[in-house]
Amino acid sequence: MKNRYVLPCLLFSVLSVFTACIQEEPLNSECDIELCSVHLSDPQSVFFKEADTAINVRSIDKEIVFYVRSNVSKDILSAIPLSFKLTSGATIVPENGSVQDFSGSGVTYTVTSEDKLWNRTYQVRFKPMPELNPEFSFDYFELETSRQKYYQWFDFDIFDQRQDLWATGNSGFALSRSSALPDEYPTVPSDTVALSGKAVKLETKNTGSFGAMVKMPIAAGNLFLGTFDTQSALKDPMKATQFGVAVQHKPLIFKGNYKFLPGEKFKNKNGYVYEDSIDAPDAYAVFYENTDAEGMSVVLHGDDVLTNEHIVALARVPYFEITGVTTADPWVYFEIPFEYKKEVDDYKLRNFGYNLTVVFTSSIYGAEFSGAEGSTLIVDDSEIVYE
Amino acid sequence: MKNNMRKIIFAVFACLYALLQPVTAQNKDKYEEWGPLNGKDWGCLLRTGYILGGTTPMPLPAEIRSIGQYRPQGGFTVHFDAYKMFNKRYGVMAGVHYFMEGMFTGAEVKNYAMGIQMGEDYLEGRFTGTDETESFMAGFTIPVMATFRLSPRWNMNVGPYASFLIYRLFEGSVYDGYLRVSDPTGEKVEISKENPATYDFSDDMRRVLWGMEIGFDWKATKRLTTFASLDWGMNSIFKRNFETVAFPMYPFYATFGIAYLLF
Repeated sequence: MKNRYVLPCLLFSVLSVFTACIQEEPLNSECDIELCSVHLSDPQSVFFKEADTAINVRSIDKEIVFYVRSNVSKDILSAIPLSFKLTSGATIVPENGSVQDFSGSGVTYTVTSEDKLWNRTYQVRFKPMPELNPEFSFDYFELETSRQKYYQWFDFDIFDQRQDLWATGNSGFALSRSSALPDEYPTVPSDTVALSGKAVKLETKNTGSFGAMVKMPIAAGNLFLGTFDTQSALKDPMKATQFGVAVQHKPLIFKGNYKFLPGEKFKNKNGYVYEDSIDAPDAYAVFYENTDAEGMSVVLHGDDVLTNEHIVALARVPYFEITGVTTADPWVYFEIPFEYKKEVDDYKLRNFGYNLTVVFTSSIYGAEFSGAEGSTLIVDDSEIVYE
Repeated sequence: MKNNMRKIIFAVFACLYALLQPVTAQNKDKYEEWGPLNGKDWGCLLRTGYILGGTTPMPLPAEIRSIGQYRPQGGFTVHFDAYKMFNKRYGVMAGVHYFMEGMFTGAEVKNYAMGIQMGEDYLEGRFTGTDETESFMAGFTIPVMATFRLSPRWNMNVGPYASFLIYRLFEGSVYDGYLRVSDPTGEKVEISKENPATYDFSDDMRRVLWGMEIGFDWKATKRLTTFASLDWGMNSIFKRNFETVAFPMYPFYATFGIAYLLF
C-alpha cells in the first residue's frame, strides 16, 4: 500500500527543505583600503625609514598620510606609484598601482565594494614629517567630524600647521555608551577649571550595560601622544592604545600642572570593591626607539609602554596629591627629569628614529579596567623640555 | 530545492490517493476493527514524545553561511487529545499539549545585520563571524485538527494550533569575527571568543504563537499508537516592534512518540 511511505516521505521532505537551504554566498559589501604602500627604487631619499613606506589603514581613516623628508622635490612627489590592499573583490579608482601626482593637496581614491552597493573615499597625501610642538596647551579640540559624538585634541606646530598627534579612548567609549553626550565622555575639555585657555579633564566613567557585557565596566579618561585603534578595543584592549609619535629631539624634562580627586569606590574589572584602596591617576613620558635591529617598526602598547626593551628614557610623576577638582582647589606643578637607560644615537634621532609619548590617565590601572568611577584628573599647560 | 518540492508533491498526492480509495468490504471491517473502542465514535489519547527542532528564519537568509553546531534542548512533551469521528474515516481532534522544546545552534554569518539595545544605549551594525544562539520555550499548545484515517491503521491529523508560552528564552553571543558599526563602511570592531558580545532577547519574545500542526499516527496495537507530528510556526517568535533580528524567526518542531488510547 502506497500510504505506508507517506510518513517517511513527508518527514524526509520537510527535514531536507529545512537543512538544504544555505544560499549562495553574497558578494562582499566592505570596501576598505587595508594597506597602502609606496614602492620606490630609493625609498631613503623620500622617507626617513623603510617602515614609513607602508601604512596599515584603520577602518575609520578617511585620510592616509605618508610622512616624508621635508626636502623631497616636487618632481619626485608628482609621480608616485601607490599600491593598495583592498577588501577582497573591491575595486579602486584611480587604478591600483597607477602613478599619481602627490605634489599638490593629495589624491582622492574611491573604493567600491564587490557587490557595488557601497563605496568609500580616501584622501592620500604626502606631508613633511611633523615636528611635535612640545608645549601642550590643550586649548585646541573639536568634535570628531563624522558623528560629532566626542572631543578630540590637536595642536599647531611652529609654522602654524595643524597636527593631529593626540589620541584618547573616547571612540571606544562611544561603542558602549551610544547615548552619551560629548561632555559625558571620559576625556573632555575643561572650561572653568583651567590655568590658561582650556584644560583637559579626564574622568573614570562607567561604561554601562555594554561595557559590563564585555567585562570592561569602566573607562578611565586618557589623553596620549599616539593613536587609538578601536578595532582591537574589545578583542585586545591593551593593543588599542598605540603610544608615541616620531620626534627629532632628545627630551630632558616632563612638566605640567594637575588637580586630582579620586572616585569613591575602587573596583576591579569584576566589580569587586577594595575597601582600603584609593584610586590614583598616572602621568608619564616615554622616549623609545621606533625600529628594531631588523628595521621593523616598534610601537608601544598598553601592556608594555613602561617596560618594553626599546625604551630609552622615562619620566613618570611618582605621586599625586589629592587636591579636589574645583576652581578653588590648588594646582600642583610637577617637573620630572627623564631617566636615561640607553645612549641616544644622534644620526637616528635626526632621522626620526625615536618616538615620544606623553600619557595622562585618571586611573592608573584603567588599562586593566580597575579603578574608581568618578576619579578625576585635570591637566593643563604641560611641556616636554628638549635638550 | 526542486527535488524537495517534488518529494512534497509526491507525498501530498500519496495522501490524496489514500483518502480517495474506495472503502471496500474487507477494509470496512478493518476500519471497524482498528477504530475507537467498543464501537464508540470518539476516544481519548494520552501521548508522550521527544521534540526536536529549532527556531529559524524561513528560508535561511544568504547572510547565514553555514550551521556548524546544532543541539536540541529539552525536548519533552505530554499531550492529551480527544477525537470524535463523523464517520469511519473523518473526524476532529483537539487537545492540550504541554511542551518543553529548544535548541542550540552555532552558525557562521557574513555581513549579518544586527543591533543590540541595552538601556538607552544602542549598538548596531553588520557582523561577520560566529553567532551562537540558545532558544528554549515551555508552555501549552492547543491544536484543533481534522483527522483522516488514511487506512485502518494510519491516521493523519492537520489543523491550526495556538501556543501559550510560560517560559521563554532566546539568548546568544557573537564572537570570532568583527562588527562594522552602522553599515559595511563603518568602524570595524573585532570580537574575540574570550570576550564575546552577548545578547538576551527573551523578553522580546511573544507569549502567544500560532501555526499549523500536521501529524501521522500508526496503530501498533488497538490501544498503542506511534506517532510523528510537526508544528510549523506561522508568526515570528518575536514581537512586532522588535527589530534587532532583521528577519522573522519561526519555531519549527517535530515530535516523535507513542500514544495510548485511554478510552
